[in-house]
Amino acid sequence: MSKLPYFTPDDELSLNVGIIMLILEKLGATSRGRLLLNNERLRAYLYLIKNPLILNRVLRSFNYPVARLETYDEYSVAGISANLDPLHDDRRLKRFLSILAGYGFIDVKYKKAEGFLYKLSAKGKAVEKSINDDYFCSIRSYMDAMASLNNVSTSNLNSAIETGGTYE
Amino acid sequence: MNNSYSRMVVDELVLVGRRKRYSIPFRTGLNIIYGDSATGKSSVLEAINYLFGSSNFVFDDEIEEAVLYVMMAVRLNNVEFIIKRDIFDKRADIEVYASNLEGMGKVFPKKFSPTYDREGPDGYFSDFLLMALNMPVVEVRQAPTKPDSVMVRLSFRDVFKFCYLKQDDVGSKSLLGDGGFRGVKSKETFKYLFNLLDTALSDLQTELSSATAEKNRLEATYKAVSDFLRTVEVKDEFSLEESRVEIDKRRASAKSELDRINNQIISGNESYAALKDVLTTLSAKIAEAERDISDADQAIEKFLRLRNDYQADIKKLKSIKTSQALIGQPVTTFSCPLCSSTVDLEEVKSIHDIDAADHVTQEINSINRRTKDIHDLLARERNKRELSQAELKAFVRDRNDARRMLDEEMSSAITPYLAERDTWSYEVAKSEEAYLSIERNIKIRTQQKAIFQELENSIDRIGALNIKISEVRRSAPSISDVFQDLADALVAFLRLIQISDVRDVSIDSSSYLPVLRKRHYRDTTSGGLRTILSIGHFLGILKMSVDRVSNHPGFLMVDTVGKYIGKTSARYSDTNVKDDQKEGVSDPKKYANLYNAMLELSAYAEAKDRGVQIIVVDNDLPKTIQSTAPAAIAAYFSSEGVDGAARGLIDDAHLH
Repeated sequence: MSKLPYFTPDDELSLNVGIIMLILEKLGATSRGRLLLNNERLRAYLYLIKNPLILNRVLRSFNYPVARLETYDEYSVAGISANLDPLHDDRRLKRFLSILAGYGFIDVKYKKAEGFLYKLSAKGKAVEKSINDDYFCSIRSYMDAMASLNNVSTSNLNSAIETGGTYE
Repeated sequence: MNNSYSRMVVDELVLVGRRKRYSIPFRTGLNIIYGDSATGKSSVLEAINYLFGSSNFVFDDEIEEAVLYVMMAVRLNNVEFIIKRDIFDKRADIEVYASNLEGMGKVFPKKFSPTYDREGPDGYFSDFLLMALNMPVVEVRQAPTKPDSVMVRLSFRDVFKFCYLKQDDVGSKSLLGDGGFRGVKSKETFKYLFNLLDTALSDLQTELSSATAEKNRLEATYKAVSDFLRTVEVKDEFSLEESRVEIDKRRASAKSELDRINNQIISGNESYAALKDVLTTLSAKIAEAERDISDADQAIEKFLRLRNDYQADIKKLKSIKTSQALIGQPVTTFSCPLCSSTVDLEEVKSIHDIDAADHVTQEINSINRRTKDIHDLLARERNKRELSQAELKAFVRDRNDARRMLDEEMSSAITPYLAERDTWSYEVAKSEEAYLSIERNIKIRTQQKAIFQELENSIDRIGALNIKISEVRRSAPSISDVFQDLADALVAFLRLIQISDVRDVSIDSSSYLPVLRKRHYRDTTSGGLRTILSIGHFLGILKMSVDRVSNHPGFLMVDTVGKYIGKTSARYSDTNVKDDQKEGVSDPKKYANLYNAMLELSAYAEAKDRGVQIIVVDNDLPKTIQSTAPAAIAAYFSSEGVDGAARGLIDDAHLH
C-alpha cells in the first residue's frame, strides 16, 4: 500500500509514542504498583485519550467526574464523527509498541491471565518527564479524570466505549 | 254600426298546436280559401263551425296529431271575444274571453256549456251568442199549426244553419231539411230570422225585459264589485298600471343590483385569490429563506468545528515536532525486550508518518492557511445568513401584511357584499311578489272592467232591442213581403250569374226554397243549377239581413262554391250532366260571376255600414277573381307547396 499524500497528525508515530508513554506513566499501575495495562486496555485508553468527547461520555456513564475539555476537542468535526476503527486495530498498537521497545522505553511482563503487561523503563520515564508540550499537557489533565476508569473492568470499559461512542 | 243589426265577424282562427300555432286571419267581406283537395280547407270552416257551438268537429289525422285546442277571435256586434274550445272533449265547457288574442291572459274566461243537456258555470253557449248578437232567446212550437204544441228552444245552432252551406248542402236536394222535423224547425227559424213569428214582438219585448233585468243585475254586480274593491283598497287601473311599471322598474333594478353585487363578489373573490396567491408565494419564500439560514447555520457550525479541528491538528503537529526532538530518530532494528529476537522496524516506518521536522512545519503553515480560508468562508456564510435573515424579516412582514389584507378583504370586502346581496335578493323576491300581486289586482280590475263592459253592452242591447221593436212594429213584416224581397234578390243574382231564361222566380211558401221557371229547387235536375240556386238563396237571405231588421248575424260560410260547376270530387254525382250542359253551368264566366256576386254583396253591405262576412272554400278560383280581388284570398293551400304556398292548414305536417 502506497502512502497517500495526506498528513494525518493522529497517525503520526512520535505523537502516538509520546501519548502511550504518558498513559503508561500515569495509568500504567495501581498505587501499589500492580501493572494494569495489557494490549486491550492500552488500546482502549489510547482511543479514549484521542477522543475526549467519548471519554467524558464513558466517565459519565460510570458516574465519574468528567475531564474539562479544550474547546477544540469539545467542538470539532472529529467530535461529531467518531471513528471506532482504531479501537479494534491491534496491529497499529503493536507497531507503536514495537517502536517503544526499539527505543528501550518500555518493559514488558507476561501474565497468564492478562497477557502482556507494559510499563515504562527508566529511560522511558526520563523521556516522559521531558514531554511538556502544550498538547501533552492537556492530555495529562484528561488522564487525571481517566484515572477513575482503572476501577472498571476491561470488558465493561469496552462496552461503555461501544455504546458511548454511538449514542448522542 | 247600428246595433239593432246583428253582426258577427271572425277575425282570426287559431289552431294551437304542439309545435306551433296555425292561424288564418279573416276580414269583413269575402274571404276565399282555395287549394288542392285534402289540404284542410274544409277543416277551416269545420273548426269555425265547431267554435260556434257545433256538436261535432271531424278532423283528420294531421290535426289530431298536431293540434291541442282551437280558438278564434270574433266580434259579436262589434265586441271582441275569444272563443276557445277543446277539440278532443267535445262536451267540455267552451271558454269565452272578453278580450282580443293579446289580452287573453289578463281576463278570466266565462265558461259555457256547448249543449242544452247541462248548464255551464256561466250558462249555455247558444244563449251567450244570441244575447251577444241581440237576438231574443225564444222557444218555438214543434208543430206550429197546433197551438198546444210542445215548445222547443230555438238555439243559435238553428240560426247558424242559415250561415253555413256545407259541402253536402251546396246544391243538395235536402237543403234546409225536408218535410220532417228538421224542415219544420228550419221554417220556424226562418220566421225567427225575419221577425215573422206570431210572437216576434212579444218575444222581443220579453227579451227587452230580460235585458233590462240583466242590466240591473250587472249594475248591482258592478256596484258590489266596485264597492268591494274600494273597501279592500285595490288601486284603480291607471295607478295599478303605474305601480306595475314602477315595480317592474324596481324589480329590474334590484335584479341588476344583484347581478352587480354577484359580479363584485366574484371580482372580490378575484382579489382574495390574488392575495391568497401572494400569501402562498410569500410563505414559499419564507420557507426558502429559513432553509437558507439553517443551511448557513449548519455551514457555520461545520466551519467552526473544522477550525477547531485545525487548531487541534496544529497543537498536535507542534507536539510532534517537540516529541520528535525528544525521542529522536527511531532505530531500524532492535531485539525484543521479552525474547531478545531481532525486530525489524522498516515496515512500521513505511506505514506511519515519521517525517522530517520541516515537513511538519510546512504542514502547520498549510493548516494555518486553511484556517484563514475558513475564516473567510465563515464570513461569507455569516454574510449570507445575515442577508437571508433580512429577507426573511421582510417576507414575514409582507406575509403579515398580506394576511391582514386578506382578513380585511374578508371582513371589509366580501362580508358587506353578502349583507347587501341579501338585501337585494330580498328586494328582488319582494318586488317579484309585489309584481304578481299587482298583476292579480290588474286582472281583478280588468274583470271589473269586463263587468262594466258587459253592463255597457247590455245598455246598448236595450237600446238596440228598443229600435228593433219599433222597427218591427213600424214595418210589421209579413212573410209574403220577405218572400218577394228574397225572390227579387234571387232574380238579380241569377241575372248577374247570367243564367239563361230567368223567369217565374219565387220562394215556395211551403218549403221556403227557391222556384225557377216554375220548377221547384228540389226538382231541378241540373246539379250545377241547384248549386247556383242554393248559394243564391243563402246570399239572398244574407242580403235581407242587410236590408231588414233581422236576427241573422250577417255571416255566411260556403264550402265548395264550384260544386257541380268546376272540378268537384267524384262523390257528388247527384246531377244530370246533360242538363248541366244545357244550363251551361260549367261556363267559366258563370263560375267567376258567382264570386262577383259575393263580392258585390259584400260591397253593398259595406256601403250600408252593415258589413257582412263571407268565408268560402273552393278547389279552384277563377283567374279573374285572383287578379281583381286578391285581398279576398285568405289562404291558398298547395299540397306540393308550389310557389311557397302553405301545404295545408297544418303547414308543417309534411315535415313530421
